[in-house]
Amino acid sequence: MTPSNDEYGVPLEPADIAFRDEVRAFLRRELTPELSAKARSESERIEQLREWQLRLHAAGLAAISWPEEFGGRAATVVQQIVFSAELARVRAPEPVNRSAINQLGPTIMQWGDDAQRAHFLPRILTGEDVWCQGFSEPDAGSDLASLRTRAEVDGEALVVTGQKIWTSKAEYADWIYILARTDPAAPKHEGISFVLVDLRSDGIEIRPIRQITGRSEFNEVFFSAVRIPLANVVGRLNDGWRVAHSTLGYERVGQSRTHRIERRLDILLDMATTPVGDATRPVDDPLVRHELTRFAAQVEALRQIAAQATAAGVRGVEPGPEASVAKLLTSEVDQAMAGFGLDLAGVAGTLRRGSPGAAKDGNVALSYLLMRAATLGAGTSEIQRNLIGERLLGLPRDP
Amino acid sequence: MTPDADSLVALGARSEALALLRGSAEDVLTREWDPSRTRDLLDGEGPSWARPLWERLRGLGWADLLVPEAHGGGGGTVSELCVLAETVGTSTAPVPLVAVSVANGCLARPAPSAVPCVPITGAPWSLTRSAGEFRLSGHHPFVAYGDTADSFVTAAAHPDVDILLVHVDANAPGVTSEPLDPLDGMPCAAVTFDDVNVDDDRIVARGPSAAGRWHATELTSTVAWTAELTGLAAAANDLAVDYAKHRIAFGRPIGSFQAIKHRIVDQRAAIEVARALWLRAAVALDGGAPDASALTALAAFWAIDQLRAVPEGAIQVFGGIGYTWEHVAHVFLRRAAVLSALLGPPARHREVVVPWLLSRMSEPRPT
Repeated sequence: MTPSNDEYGVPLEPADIAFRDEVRAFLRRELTPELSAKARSESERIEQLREWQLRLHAAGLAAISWPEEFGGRAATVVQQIVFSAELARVRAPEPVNRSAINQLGPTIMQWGDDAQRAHFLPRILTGEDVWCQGFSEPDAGSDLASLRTRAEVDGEALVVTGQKIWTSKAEYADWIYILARTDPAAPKHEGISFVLVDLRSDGIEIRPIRQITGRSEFNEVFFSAVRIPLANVVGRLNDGWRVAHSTLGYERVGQSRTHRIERRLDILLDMATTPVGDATRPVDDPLVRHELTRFAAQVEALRQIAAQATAAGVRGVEPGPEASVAKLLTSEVDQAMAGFGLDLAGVAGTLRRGSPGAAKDGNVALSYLLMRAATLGAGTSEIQRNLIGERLLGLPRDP
Repeated sequence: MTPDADSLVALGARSEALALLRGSAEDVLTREWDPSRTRDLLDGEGPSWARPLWERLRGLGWADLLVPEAHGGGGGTVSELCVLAETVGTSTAPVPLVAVSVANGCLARPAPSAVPCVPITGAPWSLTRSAGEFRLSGHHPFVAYGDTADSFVTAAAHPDVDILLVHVDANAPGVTSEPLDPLDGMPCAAVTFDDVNVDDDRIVARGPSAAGRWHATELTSTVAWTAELTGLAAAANDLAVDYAKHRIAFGRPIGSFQAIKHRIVDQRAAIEVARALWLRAAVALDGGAPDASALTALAAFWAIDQLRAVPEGAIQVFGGIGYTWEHVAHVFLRRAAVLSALLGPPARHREVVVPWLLSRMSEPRPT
């Protein structure tokens, strides 16, 4: 792509061009081969990401959307688009603290006190504290507000007892932000607090969860009478539900939300045009063509919807109603396409990596398993439908 | 950033302009029409369409939107026509907006009467030439608003001229127009040309320019009908939403039950996909983009595949009351069935989409 004033779909002001050039120079200088090399182990990968975040931070690029007073540079939406596009172009890794930068940082800015802002925000930026999120519990997934992890006030401390689940990064994170019940007598949305917990505290145990893929990317975190300074509550005591709401509401601008489904459609097209045993191609079957067209319609519509949402962001207006169905549709079509991959590949699709004859080197089988999570994570499809029904359409709440 | 060679700024500005147009079009139609009037028309004799309403919309320039300003028209875009068509769908107003404005746009002249001309697309005409005179024969089983049209615009292939774009009077010798009676009362006709003489003054264009013009006309017609079907489905779903908020069963509004709520949400999601697709197709047509035919086919495919089912689902939400003549639910069901059928078999659109998908595989993806 040649540099031009139009390459991101938005006109660039001189300040934006200077910013783009700064980002490009940074990437040429700092994205060195050892950082982009494939890591030999998980711990090596984490070290790479930590180092990457340090370099981003040294250049003032770790959290460009943050206000300047907290170490950001108050980047405009256009600059955020430029930044995401430039990093995607050279396949730069994510900073190790990506979710804390996007979600926890803004939460502390909005709800935290001065001491919390002064202590935690710089350490998020440097990656000195790597964070993970502890919201879900074994008995509180979709119905998050029914969480049972207790935090009892004892003098200047909170004593936390309970269990969190589906915590990614807990095995190497330093801190976890959790929701805990501080007033068991209050109605279920009102007795919850948002608490910052040092994972090195006594009484914390972390156990990896083995997923249906056989891999472990999530953990359970157990708290037994863990003492936390009361000063680590963000927002008012018992006001954590509102605080968490804003945490979940922060979303990054300028990122392609449809990259994964575009890629999966391409893979399906590739499989459909590859001759199978008797030299026929799946795509010669009208039913296969029908299904591919149905997927393409959704993928192409979602690209348009994502572009419209970004365009609204550039103009500083709210995205239209179509944006609220994007998450539901993206999850559903992603999962359906992974299932169709199995249809296309037949028995070869069921073969695992390393097996003779495995379709796409076992990726068809792996994707089929992995994509069960698409309609579960970050709010199940059922919860998404409830949210759309209640917020967008104004239907009465589910009891 | 955007799926097409379109800037975010242009996209944002266009969205706002189209939203304004939609707002004012909705104002007109909600003042002038509502679905119960469409149902009342179904009670009358003969075809049911709203000629007085159409005359008022014509007065606002809707029929001539696609005619260039230099020729006395509105100089509007396909996107704008689609927004108007969507609002027509929303109101269920039985008016020939799509047929007439597409034909007027193709002929590049404002409408001299209510239904001066409608297009006949996809007809397998046979065009012969003897002693320098062209003669047209063939049959089209379903021409939308064909029963009220004064004339037809259509195209046929001939080895001498490639494509001939012709304008045929409905009462010309050899033209038979047989009234049909579709589910929604649309004044349609089966049109037969029996060795119709095409005089030189009936030839609108010939050769490659005629081919391009006719291709654009067919695509515009498809994408605009798709938009009308989208508006229709959206209005049916909105009625179901409203009913689900107020109808009490088992002591609760039925919209609080997930079986109802999730059905309505899935239908809404299908509608949002449809709208995004026809908007992309319309913008591609306006910009003369090479993807325009594939995007139009994709939009039509999705609409046929998903939107006829929306009024069906709405009736399921209404329950027994939705099966009565008095309730307006069947107005949506009838029109959606006709519009879906009008868009043609999904397989036809699919066979345009799939080659396009395969041809894109070799191209690098835009970032």
